Amino acid sequence: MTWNPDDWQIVGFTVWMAVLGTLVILPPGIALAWLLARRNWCGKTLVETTVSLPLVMPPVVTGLVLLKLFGRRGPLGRWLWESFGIEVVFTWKAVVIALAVMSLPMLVRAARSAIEDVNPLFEQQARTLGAGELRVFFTITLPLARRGVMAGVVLAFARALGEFGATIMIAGNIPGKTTTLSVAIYNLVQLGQDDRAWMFAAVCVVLAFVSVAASERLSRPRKS
Amino acid sequence: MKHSLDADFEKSYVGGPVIRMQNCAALTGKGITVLFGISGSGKTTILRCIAGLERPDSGHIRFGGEVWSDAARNVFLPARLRSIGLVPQEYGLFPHLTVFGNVSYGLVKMIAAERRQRVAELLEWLGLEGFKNRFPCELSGGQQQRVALARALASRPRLLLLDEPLSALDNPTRVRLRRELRGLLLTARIPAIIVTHDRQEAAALGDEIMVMHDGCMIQHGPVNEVFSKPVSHGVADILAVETILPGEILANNDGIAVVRVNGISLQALAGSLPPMTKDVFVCIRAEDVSLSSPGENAASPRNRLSAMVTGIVREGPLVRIGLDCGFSLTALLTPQASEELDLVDGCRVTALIKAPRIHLIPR
Amino acid sequence: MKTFVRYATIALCLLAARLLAAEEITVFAAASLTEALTEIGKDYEKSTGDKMRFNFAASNMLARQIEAGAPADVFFSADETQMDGLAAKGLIVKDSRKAVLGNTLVIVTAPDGPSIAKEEDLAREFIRRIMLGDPKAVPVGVYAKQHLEALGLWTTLQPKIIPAESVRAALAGVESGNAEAGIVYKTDAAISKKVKIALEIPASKGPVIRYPVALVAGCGHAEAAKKFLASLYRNEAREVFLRRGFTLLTSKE
Repeated sequence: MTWNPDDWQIVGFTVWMAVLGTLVILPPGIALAWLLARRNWCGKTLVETTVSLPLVMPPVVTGLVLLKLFGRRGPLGRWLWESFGIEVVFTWKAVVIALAVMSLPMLVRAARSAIEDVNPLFEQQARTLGAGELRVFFTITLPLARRGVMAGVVLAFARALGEFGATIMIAGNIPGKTTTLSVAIYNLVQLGQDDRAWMFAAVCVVLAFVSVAASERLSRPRKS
Repeated sequence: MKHSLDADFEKSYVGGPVIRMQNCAALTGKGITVLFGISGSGKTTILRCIAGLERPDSGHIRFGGEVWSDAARNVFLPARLRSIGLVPQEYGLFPHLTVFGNVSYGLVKMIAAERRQRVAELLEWLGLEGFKNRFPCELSGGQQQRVALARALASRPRLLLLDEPLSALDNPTRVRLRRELRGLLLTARIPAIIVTHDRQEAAALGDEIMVMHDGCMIQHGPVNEVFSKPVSHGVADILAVETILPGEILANNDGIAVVRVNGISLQALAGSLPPMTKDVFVCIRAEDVSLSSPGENAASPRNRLSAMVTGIVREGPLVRIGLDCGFSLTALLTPQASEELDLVDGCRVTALIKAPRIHLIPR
Repeated sequence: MKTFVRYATIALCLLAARLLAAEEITVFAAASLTEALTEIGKDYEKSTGDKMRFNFAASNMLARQIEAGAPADVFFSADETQMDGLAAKGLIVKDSRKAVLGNTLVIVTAPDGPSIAKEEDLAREFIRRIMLGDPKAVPVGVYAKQHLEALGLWTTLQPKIIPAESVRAALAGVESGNAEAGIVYKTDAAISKKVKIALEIPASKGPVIRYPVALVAGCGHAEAAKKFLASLYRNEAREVFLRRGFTLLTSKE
């Protein structure tokens, strides 16, 4: 039972996809978190609920929805194929999309909480000193919410690392191209290669442990 | 006028009272106006409306000819365009920025060298040299207050707004800074509105005072005038005039009125009382009551009342004496005076009150 | 009234007896057998009163489940390899094992898809993706790989291969348009209206496809299961298989 170069590829691929997925959701996720924390608008509840859905729905359902959207005949898939020649389903792009969609709610919820905890008086004070909304956000809100937001990012990353249901639906399981750690484990079990499956499982546990520990550490208030 | 504030607006919160500021054409000079009232009377709301952090429901706010808010025409200038300096109650120093970062926050339009210079100037002027790189959590209350002030003044605002600037400080610091603050504000030559619920602070800091009660401004004018001539019982109460008692005018000759309170006759100035007023409230400030040993008669105050001391309480540098002269009266004396008169509970003294110091309010 | 009560009681007792005596037979079967076995199962239930429970999935997945102790009475696999695996572990009743059915591989495309005259056409540009059952373990994929290797096309086509979890997943991939072509069984292509058979791989040219069936060792309803197995060789069942497109292997094979 040895570890071979292909196995490293799977680990590397999974981590790299999780990084990409997390980067992709960072700007919209934080922006959304801010909008939910600091503004009220028509349809806010709907947006709140929709963003949280992937957390509660079975991942395969989310995967199914994405498949319908990005499949060759789906609205987004067709547009991407016809206008740009981009194929999504069964490629690494599908992996990134699946990871992004599944981990977005974690980021938004954590970031929203962190932003809500920032005393609005600081933001108002900044406004009296002439700062516009963007400046207030980047110089006051975000720095003061930094820890909670970081914790959310790490949690989102950890979720992306372990994502399975949606990934397998829209990215399939193409060796060397879309096989992530969790998909590989599933595969190995189907092939009856439990030993190798356990090897990968151990890697998953280690990655998950490190991520969650980091997230916990970050969200603990700093000892003054 | 360049520095005049013309405000007439209303603001209310769901489930809360309506806060109203009427016909206020204050700040016709570069002075300090005090917005005075007990907690909950709406002072902070008014300040926030003037600052542009809240939008009034109706009415308008104009400063120096510029329209800051006009509900009827749906005009609202946001806070960042109003060129104001705000010092909130807890100072609101940005905890993640150093003193330099805080003070220079509003100075983005300057080049770096100018910014450094301006900050250095302000810190020096406020006695904070060397604090540039400290964080707010490392500063004392008084130091934080000065940093907040520096930050508000840095971009040379047209109007300064201070919300309870001294309430977060301990007593000795408060008393010391009271005088300093006024000096600083006048030197800065920027008109200021200070919100406070502390009578002594209002008296020490303000040129003009606006008294708030229940969300409304019920009296405004120069500080001394308002304090000595409260226009109603309510105002007198808020200003903590110590003795307010119902009385009846028995006679009114040549502007001197004879008022009976609890069977005791007092002489007071009729002042601006409407003619034919019979029922009044009699207001006497403790500062205006002098005491002398019983029996001494040669003194100018018209009102000499025989009284018994009911209580002696030390109040800061002064002593507050409770008296019973047929009605309840309070006097404020220095400790030496109190000693010289050998004041103890139960001893008899004569209370002297000058007629012009007794203020009458129609009932 | 009394007579009615009497007859009613007897009827109820008979029903109860029948229900109590009725057994539940659990069959793990290859995905490609879904429609055929469901139909056979319904008929069987009607005639014997036994209840049929089916678990249809890729044969390799079913074999893993049986290995892990799943409560199956009968295992109907789409290839011998999976059955061999279980046999080697002593998980099936060796005497009951019999190869019952054959099948044919076909290449399917979308109804308006490109025409494919021979397997080599799969290498052409207009075929960007080919869905197969996972060639590592799913029988239909293993068969397909076998065939493509025999034609020397496997290495060329490998970059285009999208492995699917089962033959039905492969079929769905072509139906949804996410792959231009797929290799499935003829019996699967028959049940789908959303694909067309572009090329049939005749038994003479294609790989040998054998569907073995066996009793699972130590299963809970051995007697009833045996009866069900026996029924599969009778005419009623064989007629259903034929109609659906399977080939029947003679009892010697």
